Amino acid sequence: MRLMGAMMLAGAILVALAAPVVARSGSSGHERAVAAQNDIRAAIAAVLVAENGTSSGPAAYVVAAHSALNALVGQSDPAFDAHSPNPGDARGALGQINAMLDQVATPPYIQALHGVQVNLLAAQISLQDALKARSLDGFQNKATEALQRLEIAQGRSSQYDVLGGMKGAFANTSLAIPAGAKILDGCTPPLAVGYGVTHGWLLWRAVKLGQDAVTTDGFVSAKMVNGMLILYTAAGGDVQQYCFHHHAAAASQAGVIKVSAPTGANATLYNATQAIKGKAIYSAVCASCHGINLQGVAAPAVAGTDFLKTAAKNKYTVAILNIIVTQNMPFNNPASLKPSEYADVMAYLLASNCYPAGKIAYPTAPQPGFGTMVVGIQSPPAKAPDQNGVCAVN
Amino acid sequence: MTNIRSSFSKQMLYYGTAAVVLAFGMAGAARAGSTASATTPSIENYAATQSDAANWILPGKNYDNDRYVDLNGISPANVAKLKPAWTFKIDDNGPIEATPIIWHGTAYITSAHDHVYAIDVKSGKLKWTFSDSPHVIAFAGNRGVALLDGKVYIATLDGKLVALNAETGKVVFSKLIVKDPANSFYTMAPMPYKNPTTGKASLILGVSNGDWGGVGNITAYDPKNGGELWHWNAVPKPGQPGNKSWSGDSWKRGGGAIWIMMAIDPKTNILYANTGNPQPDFNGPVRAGSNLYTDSLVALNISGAKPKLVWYHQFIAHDTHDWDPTMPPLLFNGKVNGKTMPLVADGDKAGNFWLLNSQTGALVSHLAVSMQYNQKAAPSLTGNVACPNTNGGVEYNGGTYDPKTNMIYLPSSNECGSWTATKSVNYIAGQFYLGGGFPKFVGPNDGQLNAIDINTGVFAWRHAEKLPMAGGALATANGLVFTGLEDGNFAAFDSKTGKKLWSYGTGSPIIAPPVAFTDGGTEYVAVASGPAGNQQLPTMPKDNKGTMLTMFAISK
Repeated sequence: MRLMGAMMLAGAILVALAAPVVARSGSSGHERAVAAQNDIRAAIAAVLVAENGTSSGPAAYVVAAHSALNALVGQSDPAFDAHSPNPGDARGALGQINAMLDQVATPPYIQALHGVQVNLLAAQISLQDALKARSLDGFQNKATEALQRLEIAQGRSSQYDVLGGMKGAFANTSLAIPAGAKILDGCTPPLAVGYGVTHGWLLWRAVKLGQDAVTTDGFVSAKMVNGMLILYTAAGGDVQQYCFHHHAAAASQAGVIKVSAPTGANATLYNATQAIKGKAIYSAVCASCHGINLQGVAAPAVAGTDFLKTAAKNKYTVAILNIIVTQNMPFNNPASLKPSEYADVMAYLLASNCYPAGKIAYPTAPQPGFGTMVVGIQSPPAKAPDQNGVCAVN
Repeated sequence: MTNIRSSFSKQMLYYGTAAVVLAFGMAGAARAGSTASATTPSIENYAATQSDAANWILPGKNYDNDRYVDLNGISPANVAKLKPAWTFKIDDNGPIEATPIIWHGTAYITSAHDHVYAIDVKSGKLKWTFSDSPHVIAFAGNRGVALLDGKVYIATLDGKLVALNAETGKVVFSKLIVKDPANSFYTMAPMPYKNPTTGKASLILGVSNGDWGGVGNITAYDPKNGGELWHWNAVPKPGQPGNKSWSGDSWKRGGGAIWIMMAIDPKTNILYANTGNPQPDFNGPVRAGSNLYTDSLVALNISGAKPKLVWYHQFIAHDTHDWDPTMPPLLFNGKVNGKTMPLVADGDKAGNFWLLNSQTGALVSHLAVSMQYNQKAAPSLTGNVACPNTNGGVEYNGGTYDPKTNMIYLPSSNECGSWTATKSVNYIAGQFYLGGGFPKFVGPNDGQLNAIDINTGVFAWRHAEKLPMAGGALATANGLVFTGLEDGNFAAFDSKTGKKLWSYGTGSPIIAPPVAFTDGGTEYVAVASGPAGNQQLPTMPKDNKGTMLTMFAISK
């Protein structure tokens, strides 16, 4: 018996080691999402009670609209009516959504939640209009409008963009994962029971039939692998094709700062003459704060390893860099350089960050593609970088 | 002098004597290299800062921030003989705003990139240095360390609390303590304070994240491990009083950073803190309302498990010029119209000096100390001129109160700017969240040292300087006022007449405050100088002699 126990313990450790934990599911995110979904359902149910009822007096409609509003806005909102029942929770659907949106990170469910938020606010307006209705007809028009908006806010699990709504967000992202559930790398084939996740997207869920309570709601396909039922999400197919790229990028940059697929990598964005002109402007205007070696004096570094750490952490694109330089800088005289001078400075910064020079000059107005070009480490660098990761311009 | 103040001083004197005895007792132990406590103050020493002229352990000298020191050796008669005893070259080049912290013969100075230097006061020799440059997300700058129970604490530019062994400079622990590392960091010195309920020490810190899209907070940490003890947010959330002073959800990135050293009245356990400007700085319409509690002095009772707001006084409602109060709140009992009152003095970047009743927050008097122009005009798309600009008015080192003259000596700056706003504003993590540009310089820039007579509420004298002034001030018991100038000179003035009695050129602009103390029978005055950083002006020389700490004394 003792031996068995020890073996089982060893087995458990092995499993734990073998399961690469890629991300912690924000359990509060899951719980909030469940709560928001329940609140929306409760609001819909409240309106339907009046819609399907036989009463022709206004009282039932007023109560229904107030109850639905209560479930949407929560107790602390001025729109909350304490005299009517609240079929939802204390925070209300909007309170839950706002709490999930109020974070600095941008997990994949944010887009869908924005859709939910907008549609809930629209439903709130419809319900408030319904309260002002002078006739049964008027109430029904507005209540129907509210129902439509609530249905869109509910969304569908097959879509995970802004129209996916609550169900889309819930089915395709880490929001689906209850607290304590096992999280696995969604980019690897399912080998154990758990949720397959990459970068906040849920790709699949692996369950053992007969052991786990399973609902297929929200999954688009399923197959049996190694005695497990693998349920695939709608997002899974689209996200999976990135897995290969991510893994290749991570492998080639082991030990270096990881950047998410710099689509601007090795694109030639400026020419060498510009970079040299930009160096002179930088020395005169920027170097007193950012340092002659671009490593920062009073202000942060603007090139090399230290700067690219900021850029990677905050997902700066060339477009964002362009905004920072042309609109915020110099700190005590913003937007004071000529557009061509700003373009030269941008060229110098790109060159210093080891971006290769080309024939075309860096433009005085940002190009559409700049918005998707993530600023990151150039592989290979245009020149050999110094100990700070900066490429010399001369 | 007042009843309250004199009884307070007596109490201080008692503690002070105890501290000196303690220090003598431990000096031997420190030489033997055994106990750690001899190298730093304990939490009890922080109650006795005013009467302890041998040490300077809080950036503002004491919890009052009065920067007044009871020393008589250096006097108006002999100040002309004051010379550098030594100059310590700080290898981390950058603007230096730190107060040197002095404890029993060691000076601790911090540099722009959070390097810590422990220097022997007598010889100017380096004992140890800590130079783990953090990842700078915004501005490089640090305003001092805290010493407690054998450790040196520094709060860093990447939002960490780092505890160093005070004897070796080796890291004891380093913990990320800010809530949002994308926009939050620390520049102030942690403030050690003994919680009266638990009897335990805490380190109180205000976060620097204003202008970068954060929301200000004051947090108390456990000095043992950096764990959070309590937390107070400068911008109220929905449902809390004051939240309705923000339109829509503008409160979420509302600002109110706590940049500035705080004051504490240990008798009442009231913490006085200045809150920073609202955000986005220059775009007002996106945050309609008075924007509480930004640009305010808040009085928080910190005796319990969580701080309680006792009162607040908002200096500028709905600020659109980054004119936050930056003078460290100065607590004192002074005579107003012949009557002694509990007072707190404050100053803002709009060039206002404020005097409030420290118990109620009621306004006692107000005085414009910088040139003010067109302050009602909000920044526009095309730009409009208003004075002062964001570097003007009263700056972050504030002033000093001399109980003998009942005057506050306060440097201030005259600078004007052209202010622009943008139509829309987007938050980019790790970047300014301004809704406009920092103002362009317009016209000449200069400054003055003001002597404000608390009794009358107006100037006793003013001394003009060619450059703005941000060097803080220090008053001594025998009628001297020291301040550093941006032309690199360190100067002493007669506190009664305003006459400049002495100056010494360090070769680098001074934007750090001076300290004074006595060690082994010698009186010292110290100040740091270096590049001007954000205070740099087109009229200032581009080159300087680098970053340094200069220790002054009169040679015997």
